[in-house]
Amino acid sequence: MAIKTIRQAIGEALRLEMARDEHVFIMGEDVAGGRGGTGVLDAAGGVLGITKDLLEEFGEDRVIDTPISETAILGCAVGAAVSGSRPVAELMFNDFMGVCFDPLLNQAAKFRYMFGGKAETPLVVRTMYGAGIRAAAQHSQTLYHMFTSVPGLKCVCPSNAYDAKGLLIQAIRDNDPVVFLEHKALYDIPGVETPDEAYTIPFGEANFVRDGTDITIVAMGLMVHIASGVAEELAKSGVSVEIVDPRTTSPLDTDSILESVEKTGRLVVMDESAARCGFAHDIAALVADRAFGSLKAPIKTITPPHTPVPFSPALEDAWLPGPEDLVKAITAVMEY
Amino acid sequence: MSDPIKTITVPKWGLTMEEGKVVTWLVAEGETFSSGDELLELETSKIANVVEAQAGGTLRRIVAAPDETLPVGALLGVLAEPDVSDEEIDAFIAGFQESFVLEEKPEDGGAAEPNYADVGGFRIAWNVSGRADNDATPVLFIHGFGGDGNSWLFNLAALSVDHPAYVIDLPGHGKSSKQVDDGSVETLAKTVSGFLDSIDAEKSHLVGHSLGAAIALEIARTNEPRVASLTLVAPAGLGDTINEDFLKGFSEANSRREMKAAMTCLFADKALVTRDLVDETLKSTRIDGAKEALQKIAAACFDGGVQKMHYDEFLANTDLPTLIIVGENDEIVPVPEGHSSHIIKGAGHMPHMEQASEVNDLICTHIARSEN
Repeated sequence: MAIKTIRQAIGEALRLEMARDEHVFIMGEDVAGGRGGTGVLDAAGGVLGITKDLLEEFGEDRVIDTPISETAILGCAVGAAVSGSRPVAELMFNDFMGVCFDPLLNQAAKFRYMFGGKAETPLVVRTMYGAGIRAAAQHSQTLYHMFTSVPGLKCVCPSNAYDAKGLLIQAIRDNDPVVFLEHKALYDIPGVETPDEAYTIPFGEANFVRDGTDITIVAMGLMVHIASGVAEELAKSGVSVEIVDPRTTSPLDTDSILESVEKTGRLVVMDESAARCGFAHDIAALVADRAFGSLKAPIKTITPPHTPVPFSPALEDAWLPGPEDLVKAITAVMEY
Repeated sequence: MSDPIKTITVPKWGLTMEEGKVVTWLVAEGETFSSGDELLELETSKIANVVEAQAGGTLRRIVAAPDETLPVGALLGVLAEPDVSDEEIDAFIAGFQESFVLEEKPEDGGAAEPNYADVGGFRIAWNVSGRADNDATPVLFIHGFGGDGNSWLFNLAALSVDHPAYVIDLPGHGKSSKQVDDGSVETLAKTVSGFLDSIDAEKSHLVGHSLGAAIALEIARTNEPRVASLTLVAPAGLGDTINEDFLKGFSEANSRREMKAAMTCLFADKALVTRDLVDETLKSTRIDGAKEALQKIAAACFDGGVQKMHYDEFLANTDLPTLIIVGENDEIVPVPEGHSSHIIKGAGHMPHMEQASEVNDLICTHIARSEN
């Protein structure tokens, strides 16, 4: 056991599962790095360095560089999955999912249903999401709410290394298509204790990041870390904040969210996805629908504004939900 | 004359504890107490327990308020006689806080790594408290089904005062390798004996809990001279039945909800089964091979709700000093019949955790007596 970052945890999960099951292979842009060129093969291990050394260990048939065509990557991966392999396809940015929606949304997500349960599509799509690193409007979006709305897709958004490793191994062993979302700003945040062995975390089980009694914050990914900082500060002034990280949006651990709100009577959802039809609204609706009687104050949602992610650093910082937004929302709910 | 001002600090329970959170103080400032009295409740990442007074005196100052989380060794409160002035106490606290340093962590910032012994193909994680070079007969703690060495967190400190106190993780448990061969009590006992060989312990005091008690009995049955004394806490192997729902629930639990339901049977005070304790337990059982190992051991040692191991006859005929401790509200195994047992009030299947200081006193007295 050692302290590992999310970047290390994801690489370790891929290596362990490839060693365990020969049907697992990875494909994506530059995962082998430099194939067909004149330079050094696997010099970097993909844009993230995560797949480094996998080429040497598992060979070219299981570490596959692809052309720059997201449609081809997903089409190929869905076909491989439905015919017995277990592909882990890397789609650099979730923003590019648009050109893959037919294979993902209309094929992979529907096969089990359309074939009466006889077809399985054990596919994992790893993809980066999230703002805050000056990557501009076409490389900064948070789209988990879109994948979550598609029945047949599972959707995973880990916020720490322990969860990332256990959830990715679970995703690879799962017999349904899973979109595995990695927040760009979290790869190298200070790590947490993460076992060296393989382990799984079941989908649909929220993590209680912090226990509290006054107010529930539901947050995922980068927002978990912002909420933790705020909770730490507010504890000094006597506000006891509970933070629930659902970890997977589909399936969703509705019981844990409802249980927490039934205890605290207050809810703020802090969400990076969307100002309209987003994850925050889904959670707010769930609680309004099923735990209204427990509420001592109106629910607050915090989301970015309904605009593209700005490229200007000053505007991007203002666009992204931050600690001040959360303090303001918590204060408003507590003082209601 | 000893120091007029004494400290109450965050104790280190077990080998991995790094910090504790004050739940509530059980004495008020100005109140007088004696050594052994309960001072406050402290919560670790696993479980809450009571901090007892190491010395008598008057609680002059509460330094750590409820809900505060502090590292091991940090100041919780100060005791002194009433004639010590408030100024002296202020100065003492300031001096303590200034010189307080955190216990060193391993270089990578991770939790302390255990030692490993290769015993007949099993990789066994172990640790020792107290001085390993102490000439005294070592004490070996053997945990029960589904536990690990850390289940003795409240007992190690007390027992390691006079003896080197060893804890191991059994095969298939904790940080030990997950293969268990046939999973039988004989195999497990051979492995534990092999571990004792590896540390050159010719004779040791065995303290076993539940399945660990059956393992201790098996070691004694097959090689009595290597055992100095037996302490059997909520033992398996001395009754006919076992809680089948627990065995099945624990070894098959996938979700927090399922695991919590299983673990609730272990304690008399159900509130001890916190989400943190359940999450910590799941971290072990979710590792590849862990559940299969538990299921294999359960199948080898138990037939549904019936125990396959029987040590009644051996125990009736041995001269080994033996102490049996059972919780009053044990829902897992019955109180052994035909042997005299200490029944611990306010405890379920985990008396060594729930009523740690009472159990520690019993074990220390038993071991000391067995050596005279």
